[in-house]
Amino acid sequence: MRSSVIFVYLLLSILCVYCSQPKRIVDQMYISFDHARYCVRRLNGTHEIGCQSSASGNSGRMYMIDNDEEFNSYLMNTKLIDSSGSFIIVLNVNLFNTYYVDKLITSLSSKLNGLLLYLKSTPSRPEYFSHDDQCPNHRYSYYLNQTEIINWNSKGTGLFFRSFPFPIMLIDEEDDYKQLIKFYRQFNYSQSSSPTCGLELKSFQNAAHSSKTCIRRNDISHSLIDLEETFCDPVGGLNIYSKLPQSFIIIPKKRQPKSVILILTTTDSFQMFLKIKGTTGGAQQPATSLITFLALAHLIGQEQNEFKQQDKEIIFVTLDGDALDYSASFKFMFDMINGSFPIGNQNEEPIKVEHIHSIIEFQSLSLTDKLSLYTYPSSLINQTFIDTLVHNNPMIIPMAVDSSLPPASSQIFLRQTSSLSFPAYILTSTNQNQLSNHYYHSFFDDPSTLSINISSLEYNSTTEFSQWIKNIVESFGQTLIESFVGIKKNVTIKQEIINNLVYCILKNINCPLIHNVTNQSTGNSFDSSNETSLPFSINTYPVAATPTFPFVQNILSYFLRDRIYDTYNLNETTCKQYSNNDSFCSYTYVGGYAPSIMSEQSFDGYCVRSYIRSVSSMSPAFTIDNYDLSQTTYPAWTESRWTTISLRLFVIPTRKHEIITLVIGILLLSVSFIVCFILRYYTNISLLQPSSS
Amino acid sequence: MVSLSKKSPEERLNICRKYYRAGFAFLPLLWLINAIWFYKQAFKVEPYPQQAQIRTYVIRSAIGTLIWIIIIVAWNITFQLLRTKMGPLGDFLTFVYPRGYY
Repeated sequence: MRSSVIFVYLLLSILCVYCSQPKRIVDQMYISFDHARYCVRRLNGTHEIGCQSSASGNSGRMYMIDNDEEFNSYLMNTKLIDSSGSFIIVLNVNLFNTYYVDKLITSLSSKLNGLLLYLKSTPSRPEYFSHDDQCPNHRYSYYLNQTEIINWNSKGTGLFFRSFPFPIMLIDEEDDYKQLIKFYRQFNYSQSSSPTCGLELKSFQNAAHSSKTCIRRNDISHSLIDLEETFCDPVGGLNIYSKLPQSFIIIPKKRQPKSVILILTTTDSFQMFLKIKGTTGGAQQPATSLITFLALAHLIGQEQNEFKQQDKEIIFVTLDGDALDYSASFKFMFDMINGSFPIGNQNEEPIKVEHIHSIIEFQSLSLTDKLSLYTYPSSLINQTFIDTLVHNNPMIIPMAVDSSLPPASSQIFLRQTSSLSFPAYILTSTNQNQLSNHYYHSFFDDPSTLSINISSLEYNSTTEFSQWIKNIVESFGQTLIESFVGIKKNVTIKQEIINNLVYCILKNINCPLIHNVTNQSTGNSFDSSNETSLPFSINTYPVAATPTFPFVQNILSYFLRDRIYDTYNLNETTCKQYSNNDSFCSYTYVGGYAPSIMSEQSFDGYCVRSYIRSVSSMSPAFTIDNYDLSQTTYPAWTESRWTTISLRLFVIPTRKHEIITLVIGILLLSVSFIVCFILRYYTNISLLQPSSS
Repeated sequence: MVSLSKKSPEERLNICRKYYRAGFAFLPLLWLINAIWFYKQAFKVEPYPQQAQIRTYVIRSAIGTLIWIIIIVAWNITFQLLRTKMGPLGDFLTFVYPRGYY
């Protein structure tokens, strides 16, 4: 009796060890694609845009359409369409435009349960892929009131701003595509009588209807339930500004009118398809403009002794949030009109509209032979400045007087001042009223469009692109000195600095440059973003841990630092003492970036005196009391929150298979009932009898 | 479990009266229980002196229950149909927001 028990026990344990599979059955049923890009929901004051799936995912029969003929044959194949209740159409990314999508929606209506786009291989990417509008940022007449509407992005589909009731995802990795096609060919032979592939797309978004509804629901909390659920977050990041820390206008000294020049660029972009830990695009817009901006800041910082001789201040400003209805520019102008620019020290005299001399903006630059200079209004522009600039750089072509402006932040600066106060100069890459960027606001906008081979790019590689930037920046710096200081001087910037900037921004943020210009603890925060390029996407408030802002802040403030401190050999404690005495500037102790330092002596560490300010760039719509978000005075964009995004492939069995499974299941159920009944019947008898032992 | 057959007629009347009176404190379920529990006592059992009074209480409880059912069903239908059209008021009245949908 004892030995038989032990034997049974041993047998069971051996069986358990050998037969138990570590994988769950559900893992064997589904193939999941973890590197898919997905589309999310965003809302503005009155509408919602983007995609929404059901909470447990949208599933359906998979059907792959590779080209136009297959598309037409699918739509005419009514037998196939009737065979299944829901479809997930797998579409070649070249077919993703309004014509095909609208046709699918009208033909399939509620049977279209999701869309999966695929890219066969990196070289086969479409020539144009932009889902922004044909005239970007033209909603609610934010466009400067000009007579003609020009389609700057004529190949834009506008699909980003439409609301889809189903999820849309995109597969851009070649391995994923190969796996998908392998399963598809394996299973989808004939139309209905064999097992077919099915897909499940899950990208459930929490927010709904409009920003107004969503923000209202965020704020209402019933005190009985403690958990507050946030449905959406307002769009906004940081507007960063910096200048040479030479002189400050301290109250009661008055600031001279027309004594401030603003140099503008943007630090954000958007993509219709996001990926966790994936590239965000943005190489042409805004990275090229940002690199030019930072290099120009270095040049101005280098020639700061010249600029000290004149009375105009040059302030470098980055705006975050302008891709969606110019939220950041509205916030900047709102602050300026209300006297809170610059922020920080109350003793500093505020800069108001009458103090601005002019604004210069770098926008949508691409690697082109010719650059266009747009200026507005003709009554205020300084023709000598334009002539000097064109003389110094023959690549720049000034556009006709009072011609329509391309999408640029300057439009809002001019709009809020009715174009009566200061002129705007916009440098951009357009050709006959068309942006040169084929991938405007898309994740395909990567360094390969700038003729850069990103895999072979090193920290100090000189590329055609970095030489092109050097050309532009030097001519610009020369023009600024000629116009404001009044002397002709050939200024140069070291090619190494531009190479380093290109490497850091387009390939790897965790580069020696950023470690040289930050103190230990800030530098360590970049280690987590190793081997990633600077992300350019929509930022929301509260500001997430994106490395873009600390990167721009530290580099901009270092480039515009007070260079006299490069000659002082100071240690960290002295540096801290200086910062206690000065309330306008910040002092940091850093390792020092060698190509930027002009003095012959080199020290272990440098104290950096710089002027840097960061302000939240959330639209004024969210900060003004009792502002009705459905008004169109200020943009009110928010981004929905979401939890899990998943894409899974499974096999839909044939009808025969399903019926057999059901019948076996019912049989098994009835057999188990019978066995239990019989056992109960017999054990009932034996339990009543006394045991014989 | 309280068994009414074991109670004396005065005690039965007492219980019925308590349920009837307590139901006025916006407790329609008490009226519903009252009507169902005492239905047999009021109409099906041999008559005894307190039965007439119990009968009135049961009938009034039943009427009260019916009125409450009408009110609750009407409000439910109104809320379901007009929640989104009421704007901010609809959101203030909602306790759990539908995630992802208006």
